Amino acid sequence: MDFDVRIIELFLFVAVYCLLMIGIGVLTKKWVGSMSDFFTSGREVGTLTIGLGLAAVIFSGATLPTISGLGISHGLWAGSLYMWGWALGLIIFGRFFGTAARRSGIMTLPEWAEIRYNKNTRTLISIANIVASFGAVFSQVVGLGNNLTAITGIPYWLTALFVVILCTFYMYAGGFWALSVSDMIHMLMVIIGICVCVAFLIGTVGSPVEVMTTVEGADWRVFSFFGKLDFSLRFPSVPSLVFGWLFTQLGCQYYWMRAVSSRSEKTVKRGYVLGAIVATLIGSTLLAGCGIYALKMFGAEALEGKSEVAFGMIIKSLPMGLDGILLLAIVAACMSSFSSTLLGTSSTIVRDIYQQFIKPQANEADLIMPSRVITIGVAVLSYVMALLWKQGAAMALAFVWAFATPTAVVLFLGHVWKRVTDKAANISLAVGLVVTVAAYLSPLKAVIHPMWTAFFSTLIVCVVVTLFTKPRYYGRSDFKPGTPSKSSSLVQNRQMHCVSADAELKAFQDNAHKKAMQELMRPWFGGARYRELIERKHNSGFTVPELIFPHLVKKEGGELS
Amino acid sequence: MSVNAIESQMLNYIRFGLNTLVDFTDSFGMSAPKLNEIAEKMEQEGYIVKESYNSIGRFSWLLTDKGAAQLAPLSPEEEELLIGAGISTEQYRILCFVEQNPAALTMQISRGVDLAPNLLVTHIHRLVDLGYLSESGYTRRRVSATESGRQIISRYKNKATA
Repeated sequence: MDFDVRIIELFLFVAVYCLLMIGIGVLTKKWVGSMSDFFTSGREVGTLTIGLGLAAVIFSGATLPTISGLGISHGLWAGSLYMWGWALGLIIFGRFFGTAARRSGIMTLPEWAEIRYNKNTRTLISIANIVASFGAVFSQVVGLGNNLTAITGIPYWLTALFVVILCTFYMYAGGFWALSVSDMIHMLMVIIGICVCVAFLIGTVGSPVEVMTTVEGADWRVFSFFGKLDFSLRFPSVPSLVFGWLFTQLGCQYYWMRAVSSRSEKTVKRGYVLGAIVATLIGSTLLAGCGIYALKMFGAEALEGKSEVAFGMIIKSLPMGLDGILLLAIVAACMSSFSSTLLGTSSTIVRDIYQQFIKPQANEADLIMPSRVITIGVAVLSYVMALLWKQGAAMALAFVWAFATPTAVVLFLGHVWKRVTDKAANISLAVGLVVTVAAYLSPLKAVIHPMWTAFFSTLIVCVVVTLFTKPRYYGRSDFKPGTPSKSSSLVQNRQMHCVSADAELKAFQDNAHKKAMQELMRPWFGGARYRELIERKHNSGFTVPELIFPHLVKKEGGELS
Repeated sequence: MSVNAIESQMLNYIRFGLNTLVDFTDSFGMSAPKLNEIAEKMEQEGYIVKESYNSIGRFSWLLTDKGAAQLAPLSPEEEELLIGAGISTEQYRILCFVEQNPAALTMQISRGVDLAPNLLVTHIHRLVDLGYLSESGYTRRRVSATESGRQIISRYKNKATA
């Protein structure tokens, strides 16, 4: 009886949430007027939505058990490093690539490749990107299907089908608009779920200090920074966790499309930092700490060799009501990652395959229907894959990392080194992809993660071929760029004029600020002689306020103290 | 050698500060690679120059003297608005509409000033950069005029509508 009530309660939670998602799909459908609306939401998305949306991408069905599992198997800080690496990569990506992506006017990552190199590079990157993103899409279906089956007892094929239909419905209707709105809600659910779980654990098991110091293996699990992580090129290791995510972010469309859809370059910078902060606060030490709590609750023997089930065991131990909230957090995490990767994959197929090779003359409005049909097609294919190759989902992350790496290397080099040639990009991409496949098929993958073989092979080939081939006009040593016009009837000169006007305004504001500071810091106690002394000292360029706030007060003559 | 219609329009956009690749893609409705190809060809012919050749500056262009010589002359009102406020008459029209309809959505402005949403977004972006408009809203953009924007409207009210 108790079991039935529990199942009904979980169903109710999930059903209400699903209705909410359907509502979002219906609402955002009205906002879509063209393909660019469908895939970039009219470049209107704000900082908070970008930040929460990005954080929602990393919280997938696999992330929650993986981080808490790493906390048990490799230590608290090693588990946290999983998310720190992602957050660091995201900040670097947002600052150096996200803003450039926004300014470039691209819709997909392969378009960037064509701008920097040529059409062949675009096609190669499209293929690598579709392969990498598709791995991520179907692994989310498997993850969510598995989680729902484990908790509700409903057959896997049915839960997976349910997930695919629900997510595809709202993505079909609202495209990136639906994704933006739903991701905010997904992420809020994840935050609430994890906070509720942590609060419950602290209330029932004990305070963090008590648990961390008394848990089995506390010396290496809590008091050693790297725990059991090493510096090899396998997974997990410190170099893999630090660089793997950056390669993925650079090489996967679903990280680029957030930047492309954002309102401005400032929004990109802030949104990516916000996403990194939210994910780090919620998903690093808190989640790894849940693993340590599970160790305390269930003992090391129960979790021996299967640390990734710790999070599921915690959910099952929660009282009614709380388990529903945490289940919703998992459902939300999976749905957000599934939707993002689904839209990322379908946008690449529409823009870089369909529009390039099948309907080159199609305009934006003509592409709305193909965008929707392809989104459904990718979802159906991912469902079939999830049924036929369930165990393949376990290696999906490694798969994404490896296949995104050649793209990441070529794009990074092209962005920072103007000498890189089109030929070098194409040859190194082809070599990198072949080496990645070979690395997967060879026993070498036990020694070195395929991501690293892809990285080194692509990097070396790209640099060597670049040095022996002819670059584009601006990469040649004899190239001299033109000089911008100084004509007074152009905005580019008004901008220069604005700079000098701004400098005058700033000098005026600084002066006013300095006077205000002097007034504020004028001694209000002591005799007349003391005040006189202080004033004299001030006029000679040394005062107490200047000692305390050297960056706020300027000396006479305009020099910073 | 002279420029064709698209190139001429591109030079004109750069004159008004719409000088990034995203401004071109949203205004022309063409793909970024295609427009980048046109811009790079114009650069090699000496009409424009990239802001830089590495990193983000590769997607912004400035006019050279040769490029500026290709521009059609502006009317006195347009020139005054451009030199004094850094905006075009179209942007002034958007500014006036937003001033009368605070916190307007892009779709509402698009209908109000009869401009395609994508093209409108480039102008809004420019006006926000200049400090004449401010944006808000979590998911959808809502735009309002700032104090500087209102000052520009009152300063050029009679001249721009003349």
